[in-house]
Amino acid sequence: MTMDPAAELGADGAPASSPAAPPRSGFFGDFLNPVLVKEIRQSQRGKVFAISLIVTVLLALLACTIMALEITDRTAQPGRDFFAAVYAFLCGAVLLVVPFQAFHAMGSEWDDHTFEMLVLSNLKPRQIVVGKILAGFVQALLFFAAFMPFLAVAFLLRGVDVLVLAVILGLTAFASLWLTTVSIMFSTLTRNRFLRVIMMVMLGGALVGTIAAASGLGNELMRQPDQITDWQFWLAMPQLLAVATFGGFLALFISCNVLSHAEENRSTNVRVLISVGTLLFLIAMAVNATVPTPRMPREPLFGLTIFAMFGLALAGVFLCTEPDRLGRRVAPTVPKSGVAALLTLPWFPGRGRGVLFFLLHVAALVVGALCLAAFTGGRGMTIVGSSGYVDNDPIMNDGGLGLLVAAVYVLLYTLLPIGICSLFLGTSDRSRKIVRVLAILSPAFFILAPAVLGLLIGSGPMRDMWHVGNGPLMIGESFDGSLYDPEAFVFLILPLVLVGLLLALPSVFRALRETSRLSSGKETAAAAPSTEA
Amino acid sequence: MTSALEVRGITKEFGATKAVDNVSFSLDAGEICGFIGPNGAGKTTTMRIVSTLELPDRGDVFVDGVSVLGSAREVRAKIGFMPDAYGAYSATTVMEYLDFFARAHGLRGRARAHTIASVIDFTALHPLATKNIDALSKGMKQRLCLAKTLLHDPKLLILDEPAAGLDPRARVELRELVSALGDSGKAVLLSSHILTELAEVCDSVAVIEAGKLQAKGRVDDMMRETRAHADVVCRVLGDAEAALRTIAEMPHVTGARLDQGNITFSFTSGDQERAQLLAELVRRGVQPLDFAARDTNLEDVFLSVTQGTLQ
Repeated sequence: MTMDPAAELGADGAPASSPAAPPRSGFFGDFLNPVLVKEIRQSQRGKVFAISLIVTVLLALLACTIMALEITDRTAQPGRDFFAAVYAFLCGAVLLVVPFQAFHAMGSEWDDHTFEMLVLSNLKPRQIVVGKILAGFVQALLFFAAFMPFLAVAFLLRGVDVLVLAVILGLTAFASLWLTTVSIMFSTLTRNRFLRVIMMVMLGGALVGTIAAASGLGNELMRQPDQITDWQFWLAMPQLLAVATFGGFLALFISCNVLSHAEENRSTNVRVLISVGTLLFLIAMAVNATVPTPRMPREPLFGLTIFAMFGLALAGVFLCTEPDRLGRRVAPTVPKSGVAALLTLPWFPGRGRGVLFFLLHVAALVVGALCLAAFTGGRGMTIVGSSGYVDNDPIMNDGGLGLLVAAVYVLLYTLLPIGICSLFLGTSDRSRKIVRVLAILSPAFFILAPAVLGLLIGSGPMRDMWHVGNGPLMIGESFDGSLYDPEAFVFLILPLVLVGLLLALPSVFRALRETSRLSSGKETAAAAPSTEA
Repeated sequence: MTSALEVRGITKEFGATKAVDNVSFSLDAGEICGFIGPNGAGKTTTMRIVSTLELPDRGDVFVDGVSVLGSAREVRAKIGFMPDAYGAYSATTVMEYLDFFARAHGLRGRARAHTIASVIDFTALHPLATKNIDALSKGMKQRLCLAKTLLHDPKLLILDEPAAGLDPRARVELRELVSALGDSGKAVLLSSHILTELAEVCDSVAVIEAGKLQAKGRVDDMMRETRAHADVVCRVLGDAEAALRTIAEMPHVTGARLDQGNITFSFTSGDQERAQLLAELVRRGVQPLDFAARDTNLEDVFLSVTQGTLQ
């Protein structure tokens, strides 16, 4: 500072005149995330954490005391009952209180007008979000530590397998971390207090449901510990954890992007994550189609790929409705080499680039799944012989056609509504939000509008939603290789998809032109007006 | 030399409303600039753009030569923004609050302890260091916020209505702090509705109305400019009617009238000409008892520059 501190320093660097030195944190404390330090200090002083810790521990103690009084010589393995009671309260603490507090901690940054002060400091949005997630995790660990004596008692009372206990506690800690991340993401989505209250109620309901599910799953694993020694458990669990981790990172990136400056690149990290997720998905499918015996049949392979494609479509709605042009802070980061600029183009923000990214990944999923089905030796499930799946149906009859039809509907439900709505609603921030909502709701429109028409004109099949607008019906019907109403599909659905692609084409050309100009240095970053928001 | 702040033609629209319309001005190091304008004139929006919190639709802002559009993070290291609605964390002491923001600004170890002690000394927050923020008065919270704003030694301070809601003593103390900051070489952009206080602390003022910058200049110059159209009150010995006729004939005099024995008129020229007028009146036999121009203050400057346009 240019002000003269005029203060003599004490041994720790704080002036001797200072009545209270800054809280000490040691050498490593200096390198801790400041938000983590602040949140922990606040929760130490705050009432919520202390009260919830005391209440849950007292309730667990009460439950254990009651159960201890009921133990008789004939009670078999009372440790399991102890565990069930203690674990329910532990779940309540780490799967409800901790995520809820994280949601509140993020929301209070808006309500208390402190967020802008954080933004103006040296902290990056990532540090703010990660600090709050870690603070939640530290609180969860404190709850685990507080419950450890109860769990030890449950173990000593017999009936609790150490490996199962470790797996359950590990999964619970992971779930707490995941729920905290997702809760923070929801809290960043709106600064409107009313909307946040609605979100809080919904989140509360979801978290209570999660507690019930986790508690049930924990007890199930505890009562049937053999499940954990089954190799299938260890094949499935990493894949489930990978999916959850992907979701967690997506939530983290979304939170960071929402908090970052409007001119920053808010899209590339999500795009890269989706690309990595797509690759991991295909690798997981390849493992499942080659490693286990019997190998994963083609139908679930295609079925899971279809689910992945619809997940991609949801992300695609956001990517394909971004502002057309690159922000003023993003434009200078376009590679100067023409080839590199072209190759990295789909991973940069912007509507046209989003369309390319979306098409590229849909194609990757379709081609990847078909190649896996063709080359990994997987078979269909239609004929099950004594040695496994032995049918020799062509791929198209084992769900391949369903996959292709699904790709068509994914494009139909995404590109067509976005293209049409953008034509009429423009490209302002507000319009983009409306387009996104309409695009997400468009499958319902495609399914229900013909049904209403069928009701009016007295067409039974249409009224019963047996029509080509019903994507799930068409995908399901085509899974065995036969297409429902092929004429309508070819002469109505495919042309509509083509219209969607044509409507997206101008933005793709604009993106190509802009990238070309930026990479050749004809357009400077300062000259590029920002529309990024 | 690079200006501490250069606002270059910024425009910001919120729907159909132009909150800021092609505003340009600059501040040198050590300059304390009062940013004045009616409610909704665009002061806060301009300050938020300078602070990188809002983006201009057009134009750019340079802090110490660094663009807010191109390098927001670099700019943030150079500015200290004290918003009108500043926040304070609950269940946190003054020292913890400052420690957190010092960490957030990347200060570590002894440097952090030293800096916190410095700002506490400067803002005289010693007795409150271990107090919970919730228990502080508004004036003390304002000091704490200023202390937090100073932690990273910013070159430019942006203070949005810092004196709002403060009692007279706290306002005087805040004014002294701001003056000291200006003396230490920091540029300060300060908005306030209390114009008399701004006049005492500011080197220059920028007047904004309906999103447009109406005037920007040194306080003395602007007052002098306003004083050129000053209302003069003259009391004479003897025949006031005759004196009124004489005065009305003089150059630069308009609207001369007799009001309860006093002759009042507008004089549309500078101090030199006014002295010549007095000498000429005496030469023509008028015997002035009092001859005074009403003191010009920032309110006069403000009223003469603005038109009361609402948006």
